[in-house]
Amino acid sequence: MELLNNAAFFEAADAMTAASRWILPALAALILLRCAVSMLSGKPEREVWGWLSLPNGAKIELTNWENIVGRSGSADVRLDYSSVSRTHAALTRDMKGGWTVQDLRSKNGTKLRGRPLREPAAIHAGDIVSFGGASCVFTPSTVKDEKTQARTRRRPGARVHPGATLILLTAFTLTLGVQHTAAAGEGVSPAVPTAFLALTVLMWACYAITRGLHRTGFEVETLAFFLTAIGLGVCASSDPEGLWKQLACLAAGVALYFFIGSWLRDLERAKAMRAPMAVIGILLLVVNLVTARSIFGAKNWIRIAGISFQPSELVKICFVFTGAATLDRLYRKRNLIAFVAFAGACVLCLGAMSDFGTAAVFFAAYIVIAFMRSGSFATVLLSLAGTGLGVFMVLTARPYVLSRFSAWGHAWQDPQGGGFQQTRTMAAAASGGLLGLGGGKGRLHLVFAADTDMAFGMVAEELGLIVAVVSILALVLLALFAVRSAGQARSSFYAIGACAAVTILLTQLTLNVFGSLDILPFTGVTFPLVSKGGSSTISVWGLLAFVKAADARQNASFAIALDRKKEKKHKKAGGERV
Amino acid sequence: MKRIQKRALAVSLLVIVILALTALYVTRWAVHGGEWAGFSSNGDAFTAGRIRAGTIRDRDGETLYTVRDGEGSYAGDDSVRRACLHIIGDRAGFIGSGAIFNYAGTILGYDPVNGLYSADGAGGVLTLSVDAGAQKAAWEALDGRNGAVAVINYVTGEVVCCVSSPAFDPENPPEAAPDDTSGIYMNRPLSAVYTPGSTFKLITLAAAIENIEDVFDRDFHCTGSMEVGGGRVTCTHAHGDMKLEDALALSCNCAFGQLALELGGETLQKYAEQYGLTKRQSVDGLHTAAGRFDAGAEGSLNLAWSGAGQYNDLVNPMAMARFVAAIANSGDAPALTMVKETTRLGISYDHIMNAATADKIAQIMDYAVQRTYGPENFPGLTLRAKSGTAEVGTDRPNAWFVGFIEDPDHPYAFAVCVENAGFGSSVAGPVANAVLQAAVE
Repeated sequence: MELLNNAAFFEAADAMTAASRWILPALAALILLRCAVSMLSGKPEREVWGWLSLPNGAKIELTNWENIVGRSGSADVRLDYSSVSRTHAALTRDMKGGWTVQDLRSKNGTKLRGRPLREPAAIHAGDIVSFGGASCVFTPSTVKDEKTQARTRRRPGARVHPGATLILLTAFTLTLGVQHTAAAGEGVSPAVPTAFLALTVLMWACYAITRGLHRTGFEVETLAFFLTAIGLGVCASSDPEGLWKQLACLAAGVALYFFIGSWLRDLERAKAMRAPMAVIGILLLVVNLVTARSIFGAKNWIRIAGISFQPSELVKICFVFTGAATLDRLYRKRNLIAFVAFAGACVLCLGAMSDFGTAAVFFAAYIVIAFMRSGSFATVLLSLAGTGLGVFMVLTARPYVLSRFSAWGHAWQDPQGGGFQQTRTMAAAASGGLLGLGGGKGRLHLVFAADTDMAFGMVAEELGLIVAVVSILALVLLALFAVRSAGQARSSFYAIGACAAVTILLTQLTLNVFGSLDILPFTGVTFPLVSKGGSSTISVWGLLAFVKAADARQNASFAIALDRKKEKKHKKAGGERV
Repeated sequence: MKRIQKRALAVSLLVIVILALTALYVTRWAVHGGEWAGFSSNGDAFTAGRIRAGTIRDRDGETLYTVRDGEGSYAGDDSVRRACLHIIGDRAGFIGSGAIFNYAGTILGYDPVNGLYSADGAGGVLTLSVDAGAQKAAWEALDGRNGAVAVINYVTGEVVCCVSSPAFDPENPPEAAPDDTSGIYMNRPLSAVYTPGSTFKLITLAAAIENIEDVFDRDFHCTGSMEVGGGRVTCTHAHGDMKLEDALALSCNCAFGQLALELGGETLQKYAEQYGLTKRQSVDGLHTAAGRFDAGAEGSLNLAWSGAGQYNDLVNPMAMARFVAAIANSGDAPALTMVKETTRLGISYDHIMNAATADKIAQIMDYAVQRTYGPENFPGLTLRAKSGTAEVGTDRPNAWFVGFIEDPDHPYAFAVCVENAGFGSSVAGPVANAVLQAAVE
């Protein structure tokens, strides 16, 4: 009888594998498609926060909280008069609906209410502001205007319902969970089914919170949970007991996500965090350097109370915080110097820890931030040249670093030496074909560190090339979404933050995936959310909050305030602004 | 904000890079997936060095090896098992030339959609180009003597027979050590090189036809030996007056020594290279051992002997079979394969020999069979051949027999070498006959 049951069980498990091989790629593709349509389709809708009326009667819309006034074609408010400088002045709005005008070292100066402007000054409805002689009347939007605007703007989720996508993701997660449980057979760890169920509960809880806050944008979370489900599968194959820690870190990461997202809602509060974040970041790295334990080559782990964690992961969040800047800062002289020093210190610390993969990730984020802040190719080229010199010096001083890269591009010539991981990754990825061997059915996890450095191989092996490529595209989609959001973000702080965050994610993805496939040098950074790793999971969720904070679609993001802060109180107090 | 929006496009560069690299990877995967999956360190393909699942068949569908969950079994017939050992591979994985390693992707049933997934656990089927009957005949004809037998289809390049002796029963392997010196793990047709002896006269002959005017009109005279540079080139007996075709049919060392001296070492070396005898030849990417030809000094005894296949000459049996295939095929040597060609669209050829030269040599090889080897020893076969008795310093020479049969249904070229076994045509000839009779059956 026992035997019979066993046979029946194996038959059922085999049938599960046969079915899940087709179900999972189909669901993955559908989820990606629905998110892509929801995130990228249609023309971005602008928000209007006020107007400038010209003497000729023309009325120019102020479509952001930060607007550049100038003659240049790339100015947000274009005044095509010869007396107006290319970048003349900035008009910025705060959370409470108050506006400030600031001269940006223009040639002919700015006058507010007839008086030359030296310091940034508040500007009110009906004020006449003159940019190099071009006089305009300023009209901010009223609470009523904003309410109407909020009502009439398209909301995400109308065409592609986020709940339906989440149902697909639930099916994906549960199918994967059942598959892993069945594949593990009789001795399955309770952690395996628990993890997939807990993930399902967690994503619906997040969805409930989002809907509870009257927000309908859930694509960022959906993509993140999709990758998390795949990551749990990787962990379930390689280290089922490790799922407990993975789950705990997932919960911590999601909590951090909501915390940072809410924190970012208030721009003043967010800006105020820049300096403290820089200090925390450097401190974390220094503590790391001093107490470092060398684990597998890179000294980037510290152990506290028996739990090992990687401070450099959390520094990524500090890095983005420090790198993001509001518009008014961007046009200040030498606005980059402090950040360059901070970034340099970070990269040097990481170099000292021999964590060159993470150093490369920070460097990529630095390049994007520097470019977005300065707009200058010269800055970027100078940085690249400087880094090239630094890399050359490191390689000269430490030839062993070079030897790591010697196998690059020749993995198959040395499959038992320098190409060990890469050849196994490619072989396992090929074994999976398009549809995979089935969750829990792969054997790449037997290779050391497969669940982190070779995560792409494990996914391709067990779930097939389709799911593996969809997991790449999921992060690519997040990045495209951040780029698209950048133009609509209420402040360049959010735009830069979102772009820096996705740059970190994409660079990690690139180094991890293509390093393990022998297309780039093998470095050993993690595949965001897919690779096993507690600190990295927490850090990725923290970074995703920045993507969320740039999403200015109507009622989309919990990280963006729906109404004016303390508006009601303000109104009662007299409402002189309205 | 417009500026920030524009600058944000910098991130799209990274996206473009990722998409390009992904496309590059997917292309590589599509092209090399089968090879990658068959990698011997791939845990999905091999378990403790043993392939996990699949079946290997001969060209007629006879099962040579079948494996499930890493537990394999070989053919039922004793001789077939031993004859096919080297082309299939042993359980311990010592025989690297085995199909188990080199066609693992096919054996496991790799396809791009399913990878190595096998719903019933049976894996896939590899149909080799070899004929189990010919394998068995070759093994039995070698009769315990060491040697190599290679038969290829000179039109398609399929390897019809590839037998190496000594071998062992893979179902009952010997206590084995990887540093074994008995040679049982070596696949001789692919990995061995032998002194070619008189079979090399085919190369000297080709060079003479193309480089010496009126060589067919020339009169050769053999007194049984010839003095060269202080030494002697010797024949078994005095062959007397001969034309070129007689010199080959009688395998006269004096005549060929003389031709070698006349042609010069560099010319001979050029021909040995051109005919692929000094290079590693590929059999589906698996390489044969490279042969060797050293040009002796002009006018030297070494040069004279090198033209008769002695001195430092070495050839690989499979490369020799390929060379003979080019003679049979008007100068075209087909790319070699161990897999039965059923879906092959185009067969690639190397044009290594002038067609007229090839046809001329074929005629002379025909003449050699008529005059020396005796067609009655090869009943039913339209044979063209050349023997070789290679002195290798032991009391018994290596016996060679190479050639091909004119038969549109069975266009087979062969090279047989039996080690330390005696006279070429009388020892290796019957082995070749036995294999060919089985192959054309």
